[in-house]
Amino acid sequence: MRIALIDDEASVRETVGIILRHHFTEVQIAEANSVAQGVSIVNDFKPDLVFLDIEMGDGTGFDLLTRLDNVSFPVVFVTAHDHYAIKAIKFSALDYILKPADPEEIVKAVKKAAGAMAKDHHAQHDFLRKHANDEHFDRIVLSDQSNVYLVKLEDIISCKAEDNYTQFMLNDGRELMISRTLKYYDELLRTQGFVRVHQSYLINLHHLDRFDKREGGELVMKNGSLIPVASRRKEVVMEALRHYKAW
Amino acid sequence: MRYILILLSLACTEHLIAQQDSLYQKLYSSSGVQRVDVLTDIARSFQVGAADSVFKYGALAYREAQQLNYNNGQVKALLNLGLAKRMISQYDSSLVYFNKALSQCDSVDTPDLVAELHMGIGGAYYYKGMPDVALTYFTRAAEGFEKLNLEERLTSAYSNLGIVMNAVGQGEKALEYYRKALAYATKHDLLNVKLPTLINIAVYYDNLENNDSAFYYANRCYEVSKQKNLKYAMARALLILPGVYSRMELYPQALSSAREGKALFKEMGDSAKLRSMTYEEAAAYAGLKQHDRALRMCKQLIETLDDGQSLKEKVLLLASKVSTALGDHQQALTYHEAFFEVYKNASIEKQKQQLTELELKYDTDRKSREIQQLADQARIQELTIQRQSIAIISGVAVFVAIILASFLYWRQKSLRKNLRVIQLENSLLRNQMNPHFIFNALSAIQKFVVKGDAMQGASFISRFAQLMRRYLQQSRQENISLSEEIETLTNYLDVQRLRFSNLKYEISVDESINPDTIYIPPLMAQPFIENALEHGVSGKVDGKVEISFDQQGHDLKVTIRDNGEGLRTDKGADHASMATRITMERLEQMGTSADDLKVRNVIEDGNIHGVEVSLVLRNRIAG
Repeated sequence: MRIALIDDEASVRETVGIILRHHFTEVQIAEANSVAQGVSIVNDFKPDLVFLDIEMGDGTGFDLLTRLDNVSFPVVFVTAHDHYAIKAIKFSALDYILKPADPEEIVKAVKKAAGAMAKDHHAQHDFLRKHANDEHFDRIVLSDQSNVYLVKLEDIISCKAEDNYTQFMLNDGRELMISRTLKYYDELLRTQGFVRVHQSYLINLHHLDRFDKREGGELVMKNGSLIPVASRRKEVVMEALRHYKAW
Repeated sequence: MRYILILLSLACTEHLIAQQDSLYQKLYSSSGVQRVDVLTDIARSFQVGAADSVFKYGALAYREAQQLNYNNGQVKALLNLGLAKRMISQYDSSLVYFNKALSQCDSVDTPDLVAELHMGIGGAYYYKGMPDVALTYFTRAAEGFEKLNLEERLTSAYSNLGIVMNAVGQGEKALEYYRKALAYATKHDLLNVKLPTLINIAVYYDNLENNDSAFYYANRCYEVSKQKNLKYAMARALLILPGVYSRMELYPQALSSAREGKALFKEMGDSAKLRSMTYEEAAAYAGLKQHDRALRMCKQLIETLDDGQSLKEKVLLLASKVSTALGDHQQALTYHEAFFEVYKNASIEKQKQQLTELELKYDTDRKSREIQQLADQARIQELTIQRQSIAIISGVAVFVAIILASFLYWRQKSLRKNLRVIQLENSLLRNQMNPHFIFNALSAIQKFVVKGDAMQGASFISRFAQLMRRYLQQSRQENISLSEEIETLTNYLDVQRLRFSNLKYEISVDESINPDTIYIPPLMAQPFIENALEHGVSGKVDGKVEISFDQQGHDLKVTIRDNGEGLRTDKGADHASMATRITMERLEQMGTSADDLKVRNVIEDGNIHGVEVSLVLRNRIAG
């Protein structure tokens, strides 16, 4: 497997390199310490996976992606801190690692890239570039094994946890199974009018019709679907509902 | 004219007294509102003379009406109280009662009471000697009664209006009202108005020496009152008639009426009017050529009369005339001289009196003017004092306000400054502890770990910890010594050198400077050094940063120079601009100007050879 490490921090490149070689014997590594160098090694080396720093001396990782014609390889962003750009990355359904890198995450990223079919990430990168500086999102990228969906947040009725997957219930009746945890989406969407009403459920308040207090309490969505409410979350739901209405 | 109004009241005495017995009977059989009304009626029945009884029953009625919350009863009672006071010449207190009643009175519900009160008030003003004011009230009363078609009350109102018109010198208008009053009085057979009105008209004509008319009205009064045996009215008529008869040269009639009058006044004990009648009698005798008799009567009169009385003049003149007729010219002359003397004295007295009156008036005027002036002065003084005190108070208030405002402003400013200082401390700290630096440093440590270079790792961790400690400490200090600053910079650059392994740095201090004695704000240069590292020498093989501290008079100049690519204007300069901004603000807080910070490209042979930042810290070096 061919892996490119693009980071202006020598110690990071060195560290990630050591970890990769330690876990994968047949790995070929190319390093770059700037955006400009990064573009040339991607074109020459043709990597299967890229670890890409976001902030570099001569520009950002996003700049680098813009300068590439076709990104057919998976990109894992590596960043020093919880930069605002992380949010955009999450909404783009792209992967990222925080520095100092957790060796386990590095390994997981490589395994995921090895298992995945070659896929065009252009739409995701495009989305990321457009929203790199955004605070609020009205759309989210949902990516499953074979497709990349660009979904409007207002079209999501609810999300249900299915082990390490999350099932999205959409307004048009579609159900999407996405390989990320509900916790991931809870953290991402809680500022966008979504509320975790149950260990296994995240709902869009926008689609909530009423709170049926009978039989222990159940939420009735506008499309008629019923969502259970955890008894210790009722308060939170009511509070969120009040806040939502007032807003 | 006053006696005429009194007459008006007296005339109805008998009629009213007859009512009183039945009223008392009613009083015992009634209660509540009805009782108040009876009390009021009783009070009214005493209006013919017993002021104290009017007051007593009025007060009783008022108290009970008050308890019953019977407003009209209260008003009527107040009316009686006012009338009672008026009867005993306490006009001001009577006006108080009337006005109180008026204020409690609804002009829509009880217009009759309002008109009645106007009558009362008019009367009070008339007695007070203010006929012009009285005129207004009587006019209102008359209008009220006219609207209500209360002709009997209207009769009294017209009568009063006539009297008041006469008092203000409007004789013809007075006559008009008298005639109206007379017409209504005749229509309703109101003798108590009719008789005085007849007399009033007669007096009016008598003064004009219109004998026929004077005779007509006086005689009508005489005949009616004689028929009804109303002696007072009769006597009044007789006071006029003999003179009229004499002027008409009807001496026998003059004589008989004068004698009748004499008898009446004798009976009534009015000696002044008795003497007037005696004079008329003498005049009648003179007309009848019974000069001796006339003269005798004159002599008697002269002895009883004082010089001041106007009747004496008349009598002396008559005596002189009679003496002439008797041929006793000597006596006639004596009387005439006496007359002249009295007349002269009287007129002198009159003139004196007039003069005195004028003087008095002038004096009063002057006094009141003086009083007014004094009052004005006092008022002016008061106002001046008031104005002064207002000025003083306002002055003090403004002063206090200014002090307060400045204090608040100062406090606000200092609070804001404090806040700004704290914010700066925070942002300074945040800037030094910027996550990019920290996490990259941690990544560097991670490198030693994964490489198994434990000693280097341990050493790096300790240097990193030391730097963090310095940041935490120094960001809170206002000033640190230059040597401390240099230690921190060295610490920082050593940590950074582990990231940028090829980094070279050089810190030089001017020989004339003792770094231990110079104090500067902490971490002043560091943001620029960080810029030099991140954006200047990053990725360069021979990256170098030079830092120098130089003396410029009393100022300390800090220069940071790198050998990088030069200034960039693109978005990568975010952090750089933030560091610069924080430093600029700190410099401003220290009161330095924007000129103290200069950032420029180092250009040699037309090529950019890096960036030079220079920073001047004012007055940092003593001596």
